Amino acid sequence: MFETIETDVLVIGGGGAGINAALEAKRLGVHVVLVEKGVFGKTGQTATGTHGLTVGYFSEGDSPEKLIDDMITSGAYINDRDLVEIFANEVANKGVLKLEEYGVCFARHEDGELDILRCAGHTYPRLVCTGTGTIAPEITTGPIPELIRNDVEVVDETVITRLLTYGGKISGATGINLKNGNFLVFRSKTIVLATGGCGQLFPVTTNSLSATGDGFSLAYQAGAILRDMEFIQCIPLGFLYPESIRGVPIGEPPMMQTRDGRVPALYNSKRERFMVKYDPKNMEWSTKDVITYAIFNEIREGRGTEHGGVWADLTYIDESIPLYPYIAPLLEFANINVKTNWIEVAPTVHYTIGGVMYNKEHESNVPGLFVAGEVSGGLHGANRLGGTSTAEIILFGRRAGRFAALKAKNISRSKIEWGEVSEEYNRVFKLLEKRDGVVSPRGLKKKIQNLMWNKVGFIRDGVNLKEAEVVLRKIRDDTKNMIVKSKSSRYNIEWREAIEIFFMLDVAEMIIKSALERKESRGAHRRADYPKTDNEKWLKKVVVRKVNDKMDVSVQPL
Amino acid sequence: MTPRHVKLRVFRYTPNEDQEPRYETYEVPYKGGLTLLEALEYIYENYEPIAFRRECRIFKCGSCAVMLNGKPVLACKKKIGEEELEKELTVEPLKGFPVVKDLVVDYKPLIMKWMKLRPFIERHEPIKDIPCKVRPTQYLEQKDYMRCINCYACNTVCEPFLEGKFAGPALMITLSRLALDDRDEADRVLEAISEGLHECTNCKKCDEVCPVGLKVSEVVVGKLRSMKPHTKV
Repeated sequence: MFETIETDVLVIGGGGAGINAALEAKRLGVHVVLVEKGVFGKTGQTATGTHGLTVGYFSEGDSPEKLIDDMITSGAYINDRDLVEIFANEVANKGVLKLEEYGVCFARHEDGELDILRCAGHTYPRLVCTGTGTIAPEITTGPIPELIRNDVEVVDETVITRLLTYGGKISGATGINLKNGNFLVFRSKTIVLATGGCGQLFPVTTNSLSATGDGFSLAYQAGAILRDMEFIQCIPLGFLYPESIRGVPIGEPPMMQTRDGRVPALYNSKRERFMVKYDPKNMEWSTKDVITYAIFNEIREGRGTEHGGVWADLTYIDESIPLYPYIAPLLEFANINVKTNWIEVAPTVHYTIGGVMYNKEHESNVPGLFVAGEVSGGLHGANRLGGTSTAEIILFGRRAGRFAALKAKNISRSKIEWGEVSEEYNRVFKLLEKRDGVVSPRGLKKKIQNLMWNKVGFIRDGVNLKEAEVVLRKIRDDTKNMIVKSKSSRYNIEWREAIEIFFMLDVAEMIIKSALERKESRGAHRRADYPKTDNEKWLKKVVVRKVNDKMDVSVQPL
Repeated sequence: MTPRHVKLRVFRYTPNEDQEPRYETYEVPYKGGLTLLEALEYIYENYEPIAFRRECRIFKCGSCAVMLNGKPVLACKKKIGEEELEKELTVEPLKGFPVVKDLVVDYKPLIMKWMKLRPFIERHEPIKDIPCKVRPTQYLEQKDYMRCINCYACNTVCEPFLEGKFAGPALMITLSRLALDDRDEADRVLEAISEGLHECTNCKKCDEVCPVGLKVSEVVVGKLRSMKPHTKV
């Protein structure tokens, strides 16, 4: 029989959302297993995140209502307002700062007071930053040891391949332990899905290698409804070269501010400060979606630089800017002297704004399936406000963990459909054992990435999107010819990539179909054939779900 | 001009399947600025699916650390230099760990040891103030520890660690950080001493190999040595 692991709550994903969910669930006295695709503590976007966390209201006049306004304005009015209210109130409770109970120490001034920063789109300063160049220490140094104190079982380097349901309710999941190639069956009462985003669908991304969108596909295949998948957020300023760090964020202008509020000015190849055309009021203090669009539009209209970007003036930066400890080693690595020269930059895919739809108790429409973090959708509308995702993984991670535990306390473990498990075993091992085929998983991955970049990128249109649908179907057909070279089941990274291809195909299809459906431009979604924001018709959400084995797209009221 | 290549001699071993480890040499086309990680990816894509770890590609996650000609490097940060094109470069898994496969090692023994150190804040009373009231200098003191990316490069060059006499610089980072943290009430200095703190010979090799430039010998080991045990209750 299969190796089976039984638990009350299964948390999938070991980034900030998963860690905080697991910890909170465990506190409520249930048995928790956390399963993670990479090495625990080293994977997920949390390990590489660089920016700030929205932590509270410190200025006179600031309040949860003001943050709600900022988030909904940035989200272009299609956020799930209930979720935004919950978020703003959790921020008011200083939920993020509670990490300091675990030994975290956020950035402070010399007098020991917290160093609070302003970020684009926020009307008041509300963020703390790390001062070290990454956020990982802040989010993981504390909670990971707490998991050890609380004896949470961690199963790492294990890729979850399918969620299991019984009578429509969650009953567990299957996975492959990469270290020994064993097929695992997890039996659980509830699941917290915290698998992060899908940046790896694009060739130029800030995301780490694991961000192949697993959770969107896992939830979809289990019957979950997803929303807002057309909204893919970019960080406007990413490295263009050297090749090894292409797509790595240089930063958002506001995080590169000096103490007196100076941010990098942006210029096109004609040395025009082009933001004046797109957001004359805020200029480079504008939100991510506006700056991203502006840069892509400058490039599209022939005013891009030699390497396909625009110029950023960083000549002013020095050790006093919050992002300096992050950026300095990268600039040194890239051999770029920003003191004397402008630097070429281009937008890079950063964040999947949409995701699995959930209610105020963080449960999806699939009973027992809870979601947290980037895999979830609804909080951020059409464009996420800076500094909210890092706070979200902590605050909403905890909430998802809490509700998943409370539910687990009141229900018994579902049966397992063993036929479904065998079917999945056969599917996954066939990927490994199949001896005929000509295409490598890496080859297919590159095809998906190029398709998404060239046809589904940032200034979209119906013709290209429809073409993309056709090409994607062809790539899906190509998976029949996919072959994994080594037949060893032990740490076979090509096998892992082969499994991930199917997640990526599902997510790509969701993005393409949702983007086709939304016939307007809003937030991070821009259509050349529908350039205007249409509030009459489109204060709505586009949702996808599986109906009769096909992807069904529909438009629903907010 | 003939295209230039870099020759990588890579450690290959699948325990339970192979009788013993072997080395395979691969030629990778060279371009200026080529990183070791890009070279490994090239081998993976064009020759054989060798096993190696990588995640963030920007020196933040610490998962791609390997031995290059006997010295620990972060594969994503290590650029192969023009002068290295003539000779063979030997790539091996991180020293001091059991091998899972090829360049992938098992961190588990070290993690188990780390867990035994009780790496969380230990105190009698729960913390009341949020944000915590800390010494004004505490943040600056802790900042260095936060830069550590747990790549374990420091351990691979530490003789007392490899001889099993010392828990190694990587674990000392946790103890040193907690020793300096007012919120923690455990006797971390005593713990460090019982983990072999004084076996450190102060050779400073850990400082040389740290990819984030942490002065490990000074801010970690040195600080712990300068503190007295039994100063916290």
